[in-house]
Amino acid sequence: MADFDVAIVGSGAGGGVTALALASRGRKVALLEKGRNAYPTLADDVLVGSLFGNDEIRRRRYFGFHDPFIEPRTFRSDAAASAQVREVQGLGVTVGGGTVQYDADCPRLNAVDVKMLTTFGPVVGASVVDWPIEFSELVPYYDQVEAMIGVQGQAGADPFAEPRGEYPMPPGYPSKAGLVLSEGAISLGYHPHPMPMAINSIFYGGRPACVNCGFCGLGCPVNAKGSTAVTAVREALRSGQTTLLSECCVVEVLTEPGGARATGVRYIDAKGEERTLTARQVVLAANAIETPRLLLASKSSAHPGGLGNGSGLVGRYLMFHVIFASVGIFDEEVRSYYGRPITHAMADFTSTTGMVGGVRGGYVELGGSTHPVEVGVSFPWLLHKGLMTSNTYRNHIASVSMIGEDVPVFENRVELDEKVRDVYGRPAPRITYARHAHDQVLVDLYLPKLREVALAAGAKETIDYDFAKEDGVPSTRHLLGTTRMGTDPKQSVTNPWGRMHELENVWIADGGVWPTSTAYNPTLTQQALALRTAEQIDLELGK
Amino acid sequence: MALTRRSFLGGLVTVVVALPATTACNETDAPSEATTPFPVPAHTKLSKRRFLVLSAAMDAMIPGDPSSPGATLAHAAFYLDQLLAAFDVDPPRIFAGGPYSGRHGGPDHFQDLTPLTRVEELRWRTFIQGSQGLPEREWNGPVVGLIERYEGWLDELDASARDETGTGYVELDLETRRALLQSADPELVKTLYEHTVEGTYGDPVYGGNHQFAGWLAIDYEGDRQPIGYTAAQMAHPEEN
Repeated sequence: MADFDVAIVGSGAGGGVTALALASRGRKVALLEKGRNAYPTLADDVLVGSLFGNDEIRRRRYFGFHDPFIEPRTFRSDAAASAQVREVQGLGVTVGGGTVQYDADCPRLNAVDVKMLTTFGPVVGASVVDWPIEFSELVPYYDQVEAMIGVQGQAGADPFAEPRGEYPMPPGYPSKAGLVLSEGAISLGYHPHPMPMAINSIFYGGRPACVNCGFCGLGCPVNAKGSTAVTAVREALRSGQTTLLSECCVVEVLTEPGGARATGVRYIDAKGEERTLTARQVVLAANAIETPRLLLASKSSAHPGGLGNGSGLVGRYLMFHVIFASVGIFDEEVRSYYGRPITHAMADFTSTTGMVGGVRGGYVELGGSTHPVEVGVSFPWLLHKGLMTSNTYRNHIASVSMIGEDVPVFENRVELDEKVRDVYGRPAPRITYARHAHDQVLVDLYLPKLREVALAAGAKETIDYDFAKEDGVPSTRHLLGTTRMGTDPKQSVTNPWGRMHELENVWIADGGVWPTSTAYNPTLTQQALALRTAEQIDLELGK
Repeated sequence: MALTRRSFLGGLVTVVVALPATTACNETDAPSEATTPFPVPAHTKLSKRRFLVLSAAMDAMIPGDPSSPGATLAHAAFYLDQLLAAFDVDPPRIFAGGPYSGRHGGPDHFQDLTPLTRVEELRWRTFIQGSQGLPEREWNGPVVGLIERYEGWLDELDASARDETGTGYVELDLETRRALLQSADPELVKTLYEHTVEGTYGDPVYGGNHQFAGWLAIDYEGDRQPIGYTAAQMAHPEEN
């Protein structure tokens, strides 16, 4: 008799909603989370506050974030090069995962996003494939997750979006940056609209409306943001069916001798003790770096190359999204840090009629946000005083940024680096990543378009910004690929429902299953996919 | 925020003059060297000389001027000193409490420091104090702690000033101190700059941004919970 029906590794976007979906069906769930629980009243009748605050120092000290000092990662842009310790990507490490600190932008995909090969054809040097599911299959799960986490938006405002019903709540107050940039976009014939986002504009789900403090990226102090912590995880705990094991780092997925089934997980608990728990089904939702890392570390005689890695594809096709921006500098004050970072967006370049140079563009965010410590450390120290006191780079800037498709490349991958260890004694993940030529063409084609929007909005000048750092390390927080789903076990790691081809009861519910990266912010779709996976897990448990 | 930059700068004159007379925690003792304008806390994790060198280096990175306080008036060096001494209090002064500072309503949760988890404590003790040969702190090999690294850097900076100018770093004018930093250990410069920025513009609960000097220098309101911004403020931020 197993301890639990389901063990879920990771309480973020995918893990959190999976927990609620299964707990609400009466399944006994263990939810393991490496980070801390920053919500003292998470399972109480009334949810009050959090340990997050409008405090940049906590962010600088990695409170609730991936901390590279204790969990270093190594990076190289070429498989022949020696990997160096680098700060690669920094999703949240806390109950709620990356949804605690994300901007909560929640657009749905467009139907063509899951059929990129059919629609646009192959890309040389990349493995562009169609998703093994139809967009229509996602729709009911989108509806469910939008209600679960609380999404604001205006149905029909985006002419390029797929048809949909009303959002659970109307858009919140617009920011000046969003309004100014939208006016510029409209003058050029584009179609800006309120950004769909999982932030309460009204009292919803027992949580208050957002007061627009502007510190979304540090964790919401009042729980107006619909992170999975204060929505799905909270409800899963209150169902009485879920045990939350925070500060517990899973170090291995355990399997039976033949290797066909997992029996549970081995983890290090909050006191540093090594423990195991058994479960009938195991769900991995640790993110597209940490999940393949765990699989590769869980090798056995039945799985010598890592758990479920007979295809050799675990860790392959890592994608980050290609995110770049034109930052407009305005004479007037826009103070982009007043309120939610992004209140407006536009999808014109994602449509086949809006493409530039035959390359599909991405969803465009209008706004951005900055706070002084973050801005200050980005300046050369010799220029600091003048740049900071002029306030140009905080009070007079607004960004036009694109979520560009990052095509899946075989060589872009996650492996284990045995030379570098983390605080739990595990080998570090080694990231090999280089931008494909397609992605650079995308930047080159669309940066001028983003610039036009900023200038049409009244910017006196613009600065180009690319989220790939100078050394090629992407600084985006969108983690995709590495355990792609598909129908062919030789060409994919999971089946179309997220179950690993080589294991009967191991499922993946994070961005790793995405075969292509799409042109939109990924979290809502990741959660919809997780709900779809949870349904299949429940069916398996019922057999 | 009720304070304006002008009223704050006027007030600072009083504060600075009063500094040597105060003795409470996080306030200051008389400067150990009469020629320096840098306040020194009654107790420091560094020696007084090193604290002065630290202050002089931070002042060189974010200097003050008549219209805008810099790292010195913001007590950026006090911020770093409190980080180095984080484990002298319980809970350690690493993470403020949440969610509110109390400055805009609600209780002052920030003062109620957040207790560290086991891994967080191991992380910060290792980072600040070094691994000290303890196996549990050497998951990736020996670590030289932040205290020891700063001691070495500050001594080196002071020594290089004496070698090149015949005068200690603290006693040099601003331009010479800035010039010396340009040829200093790049790791020192990077780390020092980050701590200077944090100490100048971070929340005052961590010991810096004294009397909001950093925020007022750049016309920044700071934290906003629980009041946030109204629709009118978001639409017309220039009118605030």
